[in-house]
Amino acid sequence: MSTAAYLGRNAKLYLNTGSYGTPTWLEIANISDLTLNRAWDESEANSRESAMKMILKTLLDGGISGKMRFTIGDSGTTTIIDALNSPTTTLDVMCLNGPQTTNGVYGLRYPCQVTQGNEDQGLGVALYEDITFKPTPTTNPPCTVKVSGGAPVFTVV
Amino acid sequence: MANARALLLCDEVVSLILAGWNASATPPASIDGVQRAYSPTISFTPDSAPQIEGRQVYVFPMPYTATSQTRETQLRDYLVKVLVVEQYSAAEGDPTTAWIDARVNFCEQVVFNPLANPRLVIASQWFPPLETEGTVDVLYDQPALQENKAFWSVMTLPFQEQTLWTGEIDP
Repeated sequence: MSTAAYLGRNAKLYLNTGSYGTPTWLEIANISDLTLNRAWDESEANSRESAMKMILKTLLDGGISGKMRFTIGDSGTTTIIDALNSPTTTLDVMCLNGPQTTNGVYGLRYPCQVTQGNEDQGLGVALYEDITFKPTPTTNPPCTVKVSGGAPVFTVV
Repeated sequence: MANARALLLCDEVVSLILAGWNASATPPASIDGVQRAYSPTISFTPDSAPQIEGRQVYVFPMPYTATSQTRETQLRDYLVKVLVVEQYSAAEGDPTTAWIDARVNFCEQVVFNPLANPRLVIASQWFPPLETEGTVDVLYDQPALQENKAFWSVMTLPFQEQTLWTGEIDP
């Protein structure tokens, strides 16, 4: 087993340019920092059976937030910013901690809306969009992803 | 043949200085020159080496750095050092104030101002960064003036470019 550290710069954010059932994954590479959240809300589940505090997981916050360098004419950038500006557009994204063909890589895939796109336009900075993706209800459910057999395997959350 | 990006940048700087000089009110004479250099021989006396003639502008490549910018690109920071040197050619007397003024003007108006302008884009690739300022390290060197009747000015100019992680130009 390799014990080498796996680096954030090898993580991937993909945008589906195909259909949900037959996705075509476009890598969004003009990303610097990115955070894939996986935080479950908790409900207390204490009882007289134990002195240990107990919880039950309820809802998963799987939002994605990060910095995307603004690149004029880049199709992925354009699609994401158009979605940010639209009140209704839904994207299908997959955020992994490595390439979609590397076995053992994990992540999330879900239909989402782009809810934030803050842009620091200071004199001394390159333009980055602080973007946030959040899952949104469609007929296609959010999934966890584990790459197995050289391809992403989706499990409905 | 210069293939290194740092050298290509210096060659572009040489061309820009020369173009600005040619367009100025006092274009270069045949003995003046602008060139990229590593370690030029500059002599102010005829007995040691060929004595410098005219106004010479040397453009030196300096160390550079690369910083990861995104998952596919780097931001490369370059420094270019420019030396302007000229010896007072009048047979007698010291360099006059007007003679020195003209060289200081040249350094500012032909070299520093155009190359430190944040709106400058060189060859669609390099640009002066906003957060790092160009500097005039030596406006004039007083010992050189007094001992050799020579004007000597040094400027350091920063540039950036975005490349792929491989160092190739980001298409």
